[in-house]
Amino acid sequence: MKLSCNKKFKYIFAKTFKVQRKLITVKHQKTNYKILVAKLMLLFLTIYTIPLNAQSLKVIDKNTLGPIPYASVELYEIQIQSYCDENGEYEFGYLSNTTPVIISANGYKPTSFIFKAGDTSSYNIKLEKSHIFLNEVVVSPTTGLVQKNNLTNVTLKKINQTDQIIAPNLMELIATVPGVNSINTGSSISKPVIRGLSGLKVVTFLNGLRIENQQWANDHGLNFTDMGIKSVEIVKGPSSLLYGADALGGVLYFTDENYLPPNSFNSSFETRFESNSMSSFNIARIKLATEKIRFNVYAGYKSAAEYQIPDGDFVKNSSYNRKSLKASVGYNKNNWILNLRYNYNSNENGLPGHTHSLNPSPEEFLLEIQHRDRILPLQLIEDHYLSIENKLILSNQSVIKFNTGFTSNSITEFEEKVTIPGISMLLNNIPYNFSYTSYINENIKWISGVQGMLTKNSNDESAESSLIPNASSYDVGSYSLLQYSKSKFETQIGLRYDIREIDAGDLLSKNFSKLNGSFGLVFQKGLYTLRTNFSSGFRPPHLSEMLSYGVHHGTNRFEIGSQDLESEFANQFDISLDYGTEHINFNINPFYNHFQNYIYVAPTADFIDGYQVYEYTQASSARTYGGEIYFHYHPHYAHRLHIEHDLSYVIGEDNNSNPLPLIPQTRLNSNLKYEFTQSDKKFQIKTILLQRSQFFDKNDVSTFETPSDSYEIYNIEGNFSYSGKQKMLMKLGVRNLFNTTYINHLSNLKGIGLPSAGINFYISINYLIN
Amino acid sequence: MNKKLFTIKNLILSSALAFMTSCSDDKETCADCHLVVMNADGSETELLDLEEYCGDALHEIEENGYSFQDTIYVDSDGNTLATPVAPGDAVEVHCGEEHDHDGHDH
Repeated sequence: MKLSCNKKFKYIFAKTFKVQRKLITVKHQKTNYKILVAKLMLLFLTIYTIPLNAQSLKVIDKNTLGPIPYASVELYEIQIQSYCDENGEYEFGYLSNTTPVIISANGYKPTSFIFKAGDTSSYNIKLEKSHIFLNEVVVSPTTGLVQKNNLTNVTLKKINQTDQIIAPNLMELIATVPGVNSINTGSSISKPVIRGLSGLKVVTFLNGLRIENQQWANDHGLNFTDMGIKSVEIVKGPSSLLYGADALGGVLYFTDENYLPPNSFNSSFETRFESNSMSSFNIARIKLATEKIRFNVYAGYKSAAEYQIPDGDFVKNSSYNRKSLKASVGYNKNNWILNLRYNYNSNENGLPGHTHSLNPSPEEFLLEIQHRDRILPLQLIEDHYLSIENKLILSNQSVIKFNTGFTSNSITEFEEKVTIPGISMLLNNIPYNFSYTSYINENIKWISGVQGMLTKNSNDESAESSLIPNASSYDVGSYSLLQYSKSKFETQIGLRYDIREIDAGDLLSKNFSKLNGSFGLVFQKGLYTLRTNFSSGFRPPHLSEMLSYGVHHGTNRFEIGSQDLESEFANQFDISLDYGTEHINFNINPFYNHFQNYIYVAPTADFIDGYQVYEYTQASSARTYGGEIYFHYHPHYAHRLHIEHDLSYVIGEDNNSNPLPLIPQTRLNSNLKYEFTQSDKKFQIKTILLQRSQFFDKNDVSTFETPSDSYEIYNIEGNFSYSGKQKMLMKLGVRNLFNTTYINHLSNLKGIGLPSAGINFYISINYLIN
Repeated sequence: MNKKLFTIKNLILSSALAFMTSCSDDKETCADCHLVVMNADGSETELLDLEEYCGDALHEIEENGYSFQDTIYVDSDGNTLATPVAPGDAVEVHCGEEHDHDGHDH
């Protein structure tokens, strides 16, 4: 039973009073003084009881002081998402932990406050009307800091929003963030690119669990879907301080959806259909919370046939299937918070563009009839992610965290044989992270910890070949971070020392180590916020770069590693300036990232077994530089209209000023959103979105790349809701509205001239069961 | 809300969830195979169209290869090979690459 604050007070009062009346009736004829004592005791109990259960908040409009109904309340530490009642009231008497509480409501500027354990106050939260939420209040899942105070360059993108244009895969959703792109193989395989860096230079975390998925290959993509994902935090640039080795280009940190508040239940069934690949994606969700334990369970199945290019043909062997299962359990007792999560993903990806021709033409890879069945080459991926997150919040607000888990990534590729895989690898990883956060005084926060992982790669002997040998590696790093904040000024400095041991038996045994650091400051004055950050990172050469020797069918080349490779280092300087008024938000964010010992793979003139030989080598130095510009305009005369533009620009050069490969095209994104007035009607149009992405010519290409042409694509989407007996949320949209033929510079199918998908109508219906 | 209706809906949802995570039954795998010779430049030449193989027979031919007694002078399209392929030369069996009967006709 959920009661508003007022109702609960009345309930307690009425209950107590009723008991009093009963006592009075029974005892009245005996002694009056006993009645008086009983009354006093009950009155005392009433007074004593109310504050214990009166932890509540009321969300009101700052100007009108009227309640804001159904405002969102997020209890960050225990990951509960809930809503106020129709009077803008919410009770959190069950909350016993110190946690940031984030309050938001549509049309208002979000805010947050820290709830301290043991606090029995009631809160009056005043929200200010606003139309732009560039600096939305979100707490960084990695630092626990409110986003606006983050000293590193972090962008947080919410996933599964009602007003978000649906994309064929998770990376495509994220690739609308300034500075973020994706490397695609059709619509099934997609890998992150942050400011021009990808593969081993980008690290992915899921709820604090480091995801290792043989990311050295361009055809080994991000293997989970947007099912149950709440947000992704994108760290642009080297970030070894908090994330360890390898994070030279940046980090993607995914966080799952929140739990429900105690004693509640809801479930939903969502189905999505896309016309281009005739794909269906069905997701079932169940969320349940008892007084102490909370559960979220999801299951999803996606099946896509071969995708259609604008001229009407279908790209052979681009179909795929995806199965996902996800479960999480949250528990808290006193000051201990525990989360257990399990995530299973199974993908069957057709690998389009497979050829043995020397000069293949695109027609070789096209069909007139669409298929959904599997042919070779085929990639089977199976992932299991198990994570255990422990958090202990001490009385002085210090926090001890211990996260560990297990990830297992199995990749099997069938190339020329149906029953014998070409390669089959199993990569197991046990990561851990222990951290301690304490407050030296109200201005100084100190975070220190130990982080590492134990990774083991093994090859299935039944496979025809093994690209990288059986090997294990052990990482351990220790870090310490000091944050100082006072008024409008904040600064942070941190150091970290990492060691990595790689052991491949007789083939190789090496140790790498490095000291890294980060320094940043934020200064706010009036409408301006200036954020600067210097950070460093390092990445020891990977097994694939040192020990590869064989044909990689995913890239159609014979790869040879080098044991002479040394660790890569990166140092980035990043500066960001925000300007925000009620109607305009502007952000400019230039950066310069300098590398030493930049590792890359370069083609040679040799052939082995008919495949061109590529060798891993390194340049003494390289650099990437550029920046992002973001502009959000909200016309005063049209409060329901939002106009957003962002520009992403990056250049990559080696020590001889030659362009680096796989640097994305300059991109200009424009978004137009119109929010409709909400009424009491059962069927309502919520928003209409129009998105335009313009990619500019790419002529500064590396030696073995070809230039890419400019193009622009338009997407449109309408969001609707139905609130009859059963609630439904619907999306209806079109991707590539004008059926434009285009090939992105980062497409793995660019070399054989295969364009991306043509016009794609889609519909999504999310049926909210209760 | 009607409690019975509520239960039925959740039963349906649970069934959907179970269905989506259930395992599919294994069918016997069949594939068309062909004999190829890899050229030095990475291209391949198809020597013979072999029949469709299934199950253990498919695994057998993929694992042990295909043996032939006579030197092959022409490819599967009837074109003369620059270098004839004799028994014992390095050849490979490739299976399961093509969609049946509907290749593009550009």
